Amino acid sequence: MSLESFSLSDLKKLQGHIPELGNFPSRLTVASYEEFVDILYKDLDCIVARMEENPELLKKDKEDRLTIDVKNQLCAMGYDAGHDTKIGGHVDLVVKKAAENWKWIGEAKIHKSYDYLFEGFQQLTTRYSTGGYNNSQGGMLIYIRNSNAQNVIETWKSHLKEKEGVENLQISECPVNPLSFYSTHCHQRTHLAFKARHIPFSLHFDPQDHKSSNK
Amino acid sequence: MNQQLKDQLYSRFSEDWGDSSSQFDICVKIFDYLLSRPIDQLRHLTTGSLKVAIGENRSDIDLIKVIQYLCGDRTGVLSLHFEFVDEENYYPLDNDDIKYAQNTGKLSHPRTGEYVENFEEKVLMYFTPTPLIIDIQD
Repeated sequence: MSLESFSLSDLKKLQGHIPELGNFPSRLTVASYEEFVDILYKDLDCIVARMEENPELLKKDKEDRLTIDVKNQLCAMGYDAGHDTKIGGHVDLVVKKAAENWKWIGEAKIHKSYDYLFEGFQQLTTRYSTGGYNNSQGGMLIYIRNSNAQNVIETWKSHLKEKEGVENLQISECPVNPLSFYSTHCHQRTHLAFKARHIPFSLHFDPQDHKSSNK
Repeated sequence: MNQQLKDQLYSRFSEDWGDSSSQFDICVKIFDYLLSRPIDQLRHLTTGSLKVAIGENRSDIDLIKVIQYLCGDRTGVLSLHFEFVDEENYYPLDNDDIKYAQNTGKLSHPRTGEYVENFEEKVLMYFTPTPLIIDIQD
């Protein structure tokens, strides 16, 4: 690898060691809000994978601490990301591209109950997001400390479907992560479609090795 | 020199990396280098020339992470550009060329129009300062 003539191929080789470099050029060539969000999701997937590698280190972290960790990693990639920014309230995570006036908002919850998740979904969709064309997507960051994240997500999906007041709700699978899914519904404020990605962080940690050797 | 804007950037580097990190040092050194040179001498910065500019033995990976950071919306200090190299000839590429190539796996040679095999080996990255640097210099 020559730094003087650093090629896309050289960058790809480094990506094997540093995944967050993988989207570096794509992140800077986005030409639409949809492309901006697509790349953001790829980067968030890298962050989720990294945090899931060491759940034992995150066991005592509260919602804000976990979200600040996500925000810090996005900032290091170059994103204009913020935590606790005032937009109709104090949003957990906002990522902006100011030059284009694009905005993506994330609401973070440690899973305690499905009504608690729904409260977060309502905050995201009725308090923080404008639902305009340049803020028509957002995300639920769901920190799961229970075992069986798949069951949590499937139950959450069913719970969301049963809730009243979420107009024209449609659920679609995430083609990348089977634990993740998308919801689309009619945004209360604009009546434009609002698409949310529901992103689980599987942070359960309960190794059985010491338990079995102690028997 | 717009000292207020300059200090805002320093604060942001510090907030994002921590004062004692290698990445913070690299940010500051690149930023100071950009502010210390006439803009017309900064029209084609490579990762190699930035490594020389910071003048210390830093890891290539830390340097590239910082370049990625400085190119992003968070700071908007550097602009990323692409060029196609064929033997001794360099051809500028625009973002749409790169996007098309990355989506389809095909890049047309800027002169001949023929598809280029292994184009990723022949597309180089380089950088220029953004208007923000000019604003701070003024």
